[in-house]
Amino acid sequence: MISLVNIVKDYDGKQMGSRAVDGLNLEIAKGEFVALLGPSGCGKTTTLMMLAGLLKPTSGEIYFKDKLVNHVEPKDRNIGMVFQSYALYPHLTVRDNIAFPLRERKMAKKEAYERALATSKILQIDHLLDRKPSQLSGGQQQRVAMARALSKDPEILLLDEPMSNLDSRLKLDVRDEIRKIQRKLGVTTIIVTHDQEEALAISDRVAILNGGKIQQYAPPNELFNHPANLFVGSFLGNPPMNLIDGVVEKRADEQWVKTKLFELQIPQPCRLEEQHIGKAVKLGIRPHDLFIAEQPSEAAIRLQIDLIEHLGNGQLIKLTDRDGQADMMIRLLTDNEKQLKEREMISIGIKPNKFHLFDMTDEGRNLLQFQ
Amino acid sequence: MSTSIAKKLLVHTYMLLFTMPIIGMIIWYFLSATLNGTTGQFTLENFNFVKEPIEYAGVVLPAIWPIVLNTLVYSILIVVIEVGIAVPTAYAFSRLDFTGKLAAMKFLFLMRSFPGITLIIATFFILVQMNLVNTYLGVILVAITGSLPGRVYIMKGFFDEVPWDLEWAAMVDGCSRFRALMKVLVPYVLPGIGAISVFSFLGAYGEWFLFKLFIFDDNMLTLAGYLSRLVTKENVILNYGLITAIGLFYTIPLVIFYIFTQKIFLKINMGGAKQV
Repeated sequence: MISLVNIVKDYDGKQMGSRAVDGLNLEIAKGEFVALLGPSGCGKTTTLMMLAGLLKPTSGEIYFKDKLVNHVEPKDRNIGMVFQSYALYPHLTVRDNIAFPLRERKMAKKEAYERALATSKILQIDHLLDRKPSQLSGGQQQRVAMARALSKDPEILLLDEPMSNLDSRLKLDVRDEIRKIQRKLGVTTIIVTHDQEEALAISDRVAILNGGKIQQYAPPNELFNHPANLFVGSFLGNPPMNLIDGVVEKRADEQWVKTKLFELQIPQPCRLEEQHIGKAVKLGIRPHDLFIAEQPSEAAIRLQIDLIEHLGNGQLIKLTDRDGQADMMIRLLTDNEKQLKEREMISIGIKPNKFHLFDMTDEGRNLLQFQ
Repeated sequence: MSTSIAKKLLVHTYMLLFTMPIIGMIIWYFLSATLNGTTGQFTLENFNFVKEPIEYAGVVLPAIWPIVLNTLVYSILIVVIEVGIAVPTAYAFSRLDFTGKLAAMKFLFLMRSFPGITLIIATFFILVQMNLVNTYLGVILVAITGSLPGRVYIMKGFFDEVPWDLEWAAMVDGCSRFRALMKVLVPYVLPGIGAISVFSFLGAYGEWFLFKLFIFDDNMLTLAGYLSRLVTKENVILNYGLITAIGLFYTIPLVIFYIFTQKIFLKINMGGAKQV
């Protein structure tokens, strides 16, 4: 449905380092819900603007259904867009706002108003049609913006951080609703967000961007369980992944990762290539993949509790080694049942096969492939 | 309670003291227009100019109504031309990237900082060369040259306030750039357009200097020019009653206009000319 091929966007041709998007390739299927996720300045909004036609790529091609649209004006692309600020027309009523794109297509006023009414019913804002945008709450404005984007029956719906101006409770409701409407209408949707929870919850596939490049493009589950590189691993997940320096060692027929505090065997099915033996790696373990061992065993790691944070649905424990020699800080997520005290020594273990190894190149490629 | 009364009393006394001279001036103005100078009796004979051409200092002045018509035509023409040029120009300065934008902006400021009077001999020379002396076109050209930079500057401030999202939304919703300007941006900056229209109108209504310089035909005068001709003819004011009566005739539409448009003036501080 949508293909982006080698898209490059420079903001100011004269300067270096003004490259917002750097060789981006993306395929989006019809009816798919895709999120562009990344830290600010990663090029995600620029990418969306290029899809909308509001910006022209410096090089590369954008295709909608095999049709090159690089030079097609935004008005001729049949897209609906919801902006972060909602960008409702302040001088028009809600009804006229929703009917605006239809009227611009020379649709008769009566028909346009009927369509506006129908769309507003889907979004449950039909009682607000005679109001002006300034008389609406943030959540209502957001719905009006959605209705305006959907009223013209677009082929592609673009959402630019549509929920960042809503409070956290409302966000959850709106998120579900957007997802429901998208399923119902089957419209191909692309959302830009910096909120990973939102991106993972709402979309079929997530493209993680950094430095104008796609780091990984996969369904949410896969991103979380099989991060392609160090950036994806450390960017996703809250609290973030523990990253520990280690070295790969070979003992007889076994491969081990050795860190300052503990050793970990790499399971047989995902043995590393010989070239990695003796090389430094980053060991990544998510805080919820660590557990507190009841019985001190050989495999367990002895650490001291530095700080306990109560998160409501669990406790986040920050651990350090007692003498501070390894200079290691590990976060562990556990349930509320455990009675723990700061300064206490505990033993922790790693859930089987729940770790990642990243090489030390700039890319930080993930070396393990658990099935 | 007593302190609040004392406070109010103080404030009101203060305000009264300072507004009295102004009120006094206005009252004197009305009185001298409506009283006979020698007998001190109420009369409307000073207002005879509304009925017929009158003689003043030995010169027969043209009838007032064609002059009023001139004033309206001239003022409205100036408003239409200035708004018509200032709005698209300000949009371009605010929203478009083009070569020489910065230089043009700097030139705009330069134009604003020149006192027009210093250029008057050169302007006169140019108008003579172009055969535009004693024509409205000449006056209009000189007038808008002086005032346009300021109007553009104010309008640019208003356009700068319009979020980009709004223009983008219009473009995604099926507008061309120009149509987005007409359908979305212009309604958004309507207070600004109102403000510069009022400024333009007041400026044109009060314009006497250019008429004094470039118009030699008394039938082509506007009210302000007409009035100025009365005051300065022979350097002596012969008939206070007549001049104040015409002055009143000239001022009252302005006061009414101002009462209705002062809200727009206040918007200038809110929306306009914030960003450079």
